[in-house]
Amino acid sequence: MTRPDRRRAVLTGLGAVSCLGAGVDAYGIGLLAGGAAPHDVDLPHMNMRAKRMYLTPPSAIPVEPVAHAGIPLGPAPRMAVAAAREALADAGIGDGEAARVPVVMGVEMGNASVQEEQRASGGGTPRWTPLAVTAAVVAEAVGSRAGASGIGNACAAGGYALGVALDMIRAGEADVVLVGGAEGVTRVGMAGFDRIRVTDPDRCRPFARDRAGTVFADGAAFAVLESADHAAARGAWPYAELGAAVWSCDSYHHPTAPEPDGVQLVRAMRDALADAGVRPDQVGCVLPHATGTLVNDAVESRALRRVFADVPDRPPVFALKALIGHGSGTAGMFACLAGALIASHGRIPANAPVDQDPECDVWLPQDGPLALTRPAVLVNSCATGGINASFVLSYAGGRA
Amino acid sequence: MSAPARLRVVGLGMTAPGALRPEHALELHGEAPPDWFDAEVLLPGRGYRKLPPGCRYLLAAARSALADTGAWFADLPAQEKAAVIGGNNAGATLQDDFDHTVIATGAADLSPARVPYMALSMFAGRLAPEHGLRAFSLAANSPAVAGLEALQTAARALAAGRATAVLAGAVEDRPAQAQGGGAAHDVGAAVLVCVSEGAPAAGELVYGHCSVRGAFVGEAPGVPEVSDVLDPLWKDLAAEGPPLARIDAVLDDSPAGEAVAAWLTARAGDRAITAVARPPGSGSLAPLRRVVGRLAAGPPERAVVLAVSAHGHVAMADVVPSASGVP
Amino acid sequence: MSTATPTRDELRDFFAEELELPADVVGYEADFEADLGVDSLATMEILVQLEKKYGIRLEESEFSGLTSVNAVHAFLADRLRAA
Repeated sequence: MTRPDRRRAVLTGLGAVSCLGAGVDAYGIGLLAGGAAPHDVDLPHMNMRAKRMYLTPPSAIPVEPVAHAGIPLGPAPRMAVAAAREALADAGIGDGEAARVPVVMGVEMGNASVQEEQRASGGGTPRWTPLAVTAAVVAEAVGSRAGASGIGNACAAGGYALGVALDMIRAGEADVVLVGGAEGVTRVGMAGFDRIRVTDPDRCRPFARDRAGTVFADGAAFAVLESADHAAARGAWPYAELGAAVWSCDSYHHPTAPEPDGVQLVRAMRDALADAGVRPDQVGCVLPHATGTLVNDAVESRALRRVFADVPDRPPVFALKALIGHGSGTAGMFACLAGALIASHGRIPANAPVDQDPECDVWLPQDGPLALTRPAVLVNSCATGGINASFVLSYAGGRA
Repeated sequence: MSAPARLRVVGLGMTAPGALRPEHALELHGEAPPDWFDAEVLLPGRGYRKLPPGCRYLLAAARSALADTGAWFADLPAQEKAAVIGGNNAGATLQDDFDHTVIATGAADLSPARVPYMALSMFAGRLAPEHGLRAFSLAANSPAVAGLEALQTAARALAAGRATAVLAGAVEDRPAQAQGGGAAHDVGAAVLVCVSEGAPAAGELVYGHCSVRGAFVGEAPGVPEVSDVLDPLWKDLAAEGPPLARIDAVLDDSPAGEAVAAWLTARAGDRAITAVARPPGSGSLAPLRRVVGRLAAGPPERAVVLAVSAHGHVAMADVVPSASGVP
Repeated sequence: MSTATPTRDELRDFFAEELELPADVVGYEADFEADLGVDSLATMEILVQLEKKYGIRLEESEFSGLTSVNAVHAFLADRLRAA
């Protein structure tokens, strides 16, 4: 399906701070090298069963900015600034050019660590510290004057932020959008998920027979999304085209479980492919949401089988969270970065070794990186509450 | 850049202390009395009792807004209906209580049913099974401007064809102790049933039309810098449509708030300005209340509702009530 | 802390109150999720209250089998007798 009337959007810059280190190079190399391992979280009062996260090395966490509008900033907004600056520099957008670039962020817990430190220390009454201050911190740091939006769609926030950014480009509201996510370590977040038994005390092992829940990760991931014409006019090299970012919701009565048949997830994936003009047999890799929870991985496996039912050789699936954990509000953006790297470099990292659950009937290649043999990468980004997003990244053919 | 998408408002719901109907939305109130939300009247039915208070306010506001649309909304296919809800403090007290529990005794003593409501998205998400929404549910959380941003995001999504009708709104509860919020000044929920400006008539009632522009002025701007950012938006806004009669500004005494206030005074001319003070710890409902009130309570004049956060966010809603010249 | 086993009727009435349903709808055999449409977190929430009320701790594996008033009653009777 071609739509000559519609503005196309490409990713021209990437930035990351993750458990694999500072920078998108460390991220890409780390994925090909097999990813990271989770560690116990070093916070006071970790009174819970599952205490591990895939943690960003302290040396990769910048010390600045220390405050914004009088409130102290925790590691998450600081990592966001570093990743956002890297993405802009990578895209070749210099200081002073970012004023017209809106910032759109998936962010849920945001600056929560500052509140948690105050509670743990029994400190006095501070200035009001909203959680979702991160997009403003990024806008301040990069000099944006075009708006700073926070989208709190929990673990699907990345897919929703990309959708909002794509709508802005397509509507001609902006030529360039800085889109990202950033989350830190939060005791209360971990405790909540521990309470409802969806976190694994050991490690994140999507699609494994013995999977026991997800394991969270901190970090920040940003991308510069730009109209293809704008990128071409300034000679910017695109990693990938964002052909679609489609949303759906289950409207299911359970507050945390997905709808068992995955009907709305299937619809999001199919509509995303259709909107991007990509047939299922043109998908060379799927980055599933794949959290490692019992229910999500089984439901998503069934949904993927339906979407690719008519494709003779189904695409390889890359379960990213087995390598870097679940970035919650950042997870969708980490998947976007991995998908963009796969689409542009043509190489799919190997999955972590897994004793695969027969209930999760997907192809999980584990013997070294694979070549991407078809142009498109399909990515899912979902959340509790039956919130689904599915987006399509395609090889953009070198210069736009 | 192109003008922002406009939307048409076909239903209004308001649930806040002293403002249990949209036409009371402009009335200011003090501290909320503890029993202001009478669930038997505002949210009768089963399965709501254990929800966090904010979620009940939101459900009540949505129910009230949808009463305006009759069967039209209910009859739309589920995959054409969506929700975009803004909020800053809706889950704040819950997170605060939870963390204190974890510190004191451990995660095993947390209430399982309330865990999902640590995420703002659950508040919007709870509307989905309630009203059969399958297009999407989205949570906006920027300080102070999230309510107006919900309208902006709804308009953009409607224009992009993501849905036919969107419940756009805001929900707030008391800020938590660890946020240093102090007394609550911005509690309750507002919901607007929105359709695309160009969509066929969606029922008999049309409250009016709305579009929202966003900007960022930084944490400590001077008036000249604010002018550089906001003048183009202002000119764009004033370039067409009926005359702009009044301005409602929801501001605090932060450097950003004061700089925008000074800019506004210079630009407003003889238009009536209503300045609504935004105490520290307030959320994102107050600006949306102004929109609801302007649409529901008139006078039928075009109004701008402006909100500024201490962190530098600015949102500007262009509100055109039905009887003021636009069909 | 009470360790006396509740009667089936007491337990049914407790669930009826918590679920905001008439006692005769809750009954003894109705499956909380399949018949009454109660989600697993809401069920867990009620079982947590029973933990506190009767001074017991449920293992993770035990939650999944407690899907009706009869099942909960039998479990409590067994556990409290053993205590």
